[in-house]
Amino acid sequence: MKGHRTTNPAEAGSELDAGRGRLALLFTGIALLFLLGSAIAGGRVYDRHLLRVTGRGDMPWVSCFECHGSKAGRSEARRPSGPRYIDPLALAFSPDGETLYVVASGADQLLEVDPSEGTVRRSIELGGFPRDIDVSADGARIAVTERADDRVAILDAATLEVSERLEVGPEPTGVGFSASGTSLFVAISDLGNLEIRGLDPNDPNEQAEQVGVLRTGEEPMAVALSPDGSVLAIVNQRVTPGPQGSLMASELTLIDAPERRVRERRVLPSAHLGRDVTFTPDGTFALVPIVHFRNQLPITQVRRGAVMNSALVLADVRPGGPTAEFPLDELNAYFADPSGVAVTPDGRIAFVSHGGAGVVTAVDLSVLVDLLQSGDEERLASYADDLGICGTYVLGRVETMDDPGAMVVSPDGTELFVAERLNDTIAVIDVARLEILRRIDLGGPSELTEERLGERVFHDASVTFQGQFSCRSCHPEGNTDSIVWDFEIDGIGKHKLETRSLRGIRDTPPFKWNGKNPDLQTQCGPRFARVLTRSNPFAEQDLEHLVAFIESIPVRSHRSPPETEAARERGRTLFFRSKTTRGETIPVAKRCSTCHRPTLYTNRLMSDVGTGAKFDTPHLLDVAATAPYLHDGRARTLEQIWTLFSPHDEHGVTNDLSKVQLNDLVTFLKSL
Amino acid sequence: MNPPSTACVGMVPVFIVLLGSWLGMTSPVPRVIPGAAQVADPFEWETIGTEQGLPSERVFAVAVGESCLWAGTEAGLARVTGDEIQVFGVEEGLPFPAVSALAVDPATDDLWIGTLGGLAHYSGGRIEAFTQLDSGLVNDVVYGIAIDGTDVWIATAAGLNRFDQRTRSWEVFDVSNTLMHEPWCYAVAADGGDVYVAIWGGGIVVRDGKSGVFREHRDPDGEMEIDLYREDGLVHDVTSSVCLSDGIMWAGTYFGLSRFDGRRWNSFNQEDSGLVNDFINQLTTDGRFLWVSTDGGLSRLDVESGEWFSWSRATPGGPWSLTVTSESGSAESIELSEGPASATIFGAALEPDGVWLATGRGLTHGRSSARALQGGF
Repeated sequence: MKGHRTTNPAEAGSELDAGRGRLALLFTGIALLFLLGSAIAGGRVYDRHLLRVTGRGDMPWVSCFECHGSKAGRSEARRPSGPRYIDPLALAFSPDGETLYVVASGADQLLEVDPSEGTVRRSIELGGFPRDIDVSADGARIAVTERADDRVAILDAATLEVSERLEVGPEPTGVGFSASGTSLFVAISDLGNLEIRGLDPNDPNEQAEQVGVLRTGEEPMAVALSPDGSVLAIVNQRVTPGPQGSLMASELTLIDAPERRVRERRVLPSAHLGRDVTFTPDGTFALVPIVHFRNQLPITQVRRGAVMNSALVLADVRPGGPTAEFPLDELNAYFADPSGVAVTPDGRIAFVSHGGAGVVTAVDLSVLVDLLQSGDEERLASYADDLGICGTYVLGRVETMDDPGAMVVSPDGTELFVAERLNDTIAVIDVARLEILRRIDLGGPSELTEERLGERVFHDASVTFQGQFSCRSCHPEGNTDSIVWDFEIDGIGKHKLETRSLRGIRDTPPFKWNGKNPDLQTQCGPRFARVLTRSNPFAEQDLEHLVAFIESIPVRSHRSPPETEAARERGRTLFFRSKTTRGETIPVAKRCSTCHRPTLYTNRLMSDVGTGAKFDTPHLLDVAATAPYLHDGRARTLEQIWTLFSPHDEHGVTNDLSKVQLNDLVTFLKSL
Repeated sequence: MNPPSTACVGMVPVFIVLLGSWLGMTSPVPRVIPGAAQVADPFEWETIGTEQGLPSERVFAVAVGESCLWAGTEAGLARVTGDEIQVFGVEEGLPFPAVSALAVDPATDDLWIGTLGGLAHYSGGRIEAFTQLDSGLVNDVVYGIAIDGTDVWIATAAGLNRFDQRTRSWEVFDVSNTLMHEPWCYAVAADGGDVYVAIWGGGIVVRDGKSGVFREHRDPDGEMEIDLYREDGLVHDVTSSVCLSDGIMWAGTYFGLSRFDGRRWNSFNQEDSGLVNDFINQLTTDGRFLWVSTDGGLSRLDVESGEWFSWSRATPGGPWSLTVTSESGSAESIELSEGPASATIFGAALEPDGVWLATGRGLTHGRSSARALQGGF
């Protein structure tokens, strides 16, 4: 009889479980082996991929995000979306004092305001980012620069309609009519030029003829005509490029307005960020608010007040006349970011607005003039560093709302109008009592976006020790100040670094030249406070707002002259080439497009380009506006990167290029 | 003070002088006719040298500004205003001390400065330098500069540059993109967009302003030693200067002078005209007169009458003589008690009643006799 094997159900279940367990173990083992194999294979793929893309075998672990985490390009670096704020950036009175014109830069408008009623009578839409305004002597015409559109709009004051638009050079800023109204002076900030256009006051339809181009300082921002029309003064924002380590300076450019000749380029030592200029009523003196900087000293000396301070330049514009910088800060109280300047019609008081401090300073001009005229050259030079002196000429200070900038005194001299840019208001100050009389609401949105709040933080100096500077002080308009600072703790000047532009950096982590900051929160957070501001770090909410604003700073749309198109295309080919002019293959790591990979033109990795160590690869968008170059600013121009500082092709293979080809490459880069 | 007309461009540096000596060129010996009373020197000559404050007596270029005179020397740039001479060197911003070319922008009165180590722009007391290492300048050896509207044209040892002051952009023209088969651009002249380039060994290359098309003028006989066929074209391919006036192009070579009116060529040589010397350094014209600066003296051609005035020395350091040659070829000479500082004349610049000469021994001022008592700068 065939026996039957009987199994206890419990035993059977146990065996089944054991079988399942072995199976699971087997599968787990296989899975682990698979994962291990995958990891090894993946690692090899990763290594190969990294080698292929970067040409380098020395890379540490690089996350996929470094290269693939963003699809952002310059097209997404944009003006903040959402409500459009007014951003009053320039003011001008009609000759009769009945109308106040307000350039609403954020809203792309010109507003016509009743100064006594505080109401907006009319407005007109203008081109992108209107920047400055001037009213002709007869009050019939108004000129407004449309900065982002490279144009100047000429408006009929009676109708507030555009009668003519002039195509001018890139990024026009300051604008002014000649005394006769037959010429228009336009500062071209991108090029450091002054364009002069001939106007026919009797025929507004006649296209203004270009009658001259004069040289100014770097990034001219404002122009002012002396009351008698004989001298045009131009002030510039950035320092004149010079050899690394040299004392830097900006300039006050004086033009013989009727003759259209550069009369004098007066050097302003260790001064920059000039954004406004005006004359005393007798035309003898020009006044320019500036930041006096001391970049030869470690920035860690902020506690000693040795980094930067606000000052007012007083220049006797007569040939050979003296010039001096008079501090506006006190030993223990700083008023950062001097921006606008205005003088009362009797020439008694000068006002300076401090955007970073939210303050307007009133200065007794007669004391300044006495100091200017009584001191010898050595004494005049010493005023710039004498923070104890301003008590002798500061009459008082008036607190304002956020970012006071442009100012204008009413023709009767009784009221000062101050554009509070980040509050969309105009403060009206009683000149005699130095008190705010009223505030004109320009009708900006009530909603404050993250970016708007962050913009206020960016322009607010209160977070730094004694309020000495704001983010804007080193990043004017989000760009670089073109100055090489000693950032390091060592305090002996060993690690000098060029200020980097903040334009378009949203998707380019890590940050800082040494690439140590993985995000902007880290970059702008406690470490920043410890090293730079020497005070408490930003509050958490402020930091988030600040980051939101910085991420919204757009890359400018760079405009290249059309006649350079062929050179640009040749340069583009060179940028993306893989073979030398002799036909040899260029190693991947030595190709331009490897490290400066489109669309951001950075691979966001560290590279050694022969400057002593590995540094973060900066993006190249708008690179033309970010001189000097390399981490310590040793290259004054793009050309110098390769002609002087890459002798053995450390910074990409370029030594095979002819001078003409190098010019083409630079032309392409300047078009980005 | 306004320059009456075009300051023609062209500069020959020191080594060219040496080349001239090496080639055995000598100054011509004028026939001195004692008692030739009808010939008189229309100029009184006075020289400024290192004693007066020039940084060097070797003056390679001269230009007349609205309120001053500019002299480019071997050791810096000098600004002459009255009796005051202000010197600019490397410390003041020049890229190199030896100044080889000067051009005043008529629209701005700014000065463009060519040196043997880069280009510079003087404006309102500040000098801005450009070199091949830090800008689009194609080569640091600058021989000539011409200004046409907002364009600055720069003749260099490795091609021609255009710098557009309005856009601050650079453009290069050389053997790779023009008809040039030699890159040595010795001089440039420009008018209304058209550009004329004198190329050492390459004749004259012309760029049409409207079309951007290049064409060239070469010596048709191709002979390097002689001008085989007269007036068949450019007298020689080794051109050193070019100059424009009233539709006429004048070309200076190391072997004589050429004139081209758009259809016909005329040649002028030392042996068959009043030209003082065939080794031409620079041409300058105000429309009425053509001034020819040479290694052997100075010539002035009245383009209306065809009459030549030529100043020369029979021997180095010897007395000066003036020879007046009519269009028909008759010549009269007188010996002069004074003259330019040297017979090696690198260039000339014109003012309403006189001429300034850049010479190997200083800056010479020739004041018209009628105005001599009124004073100059």
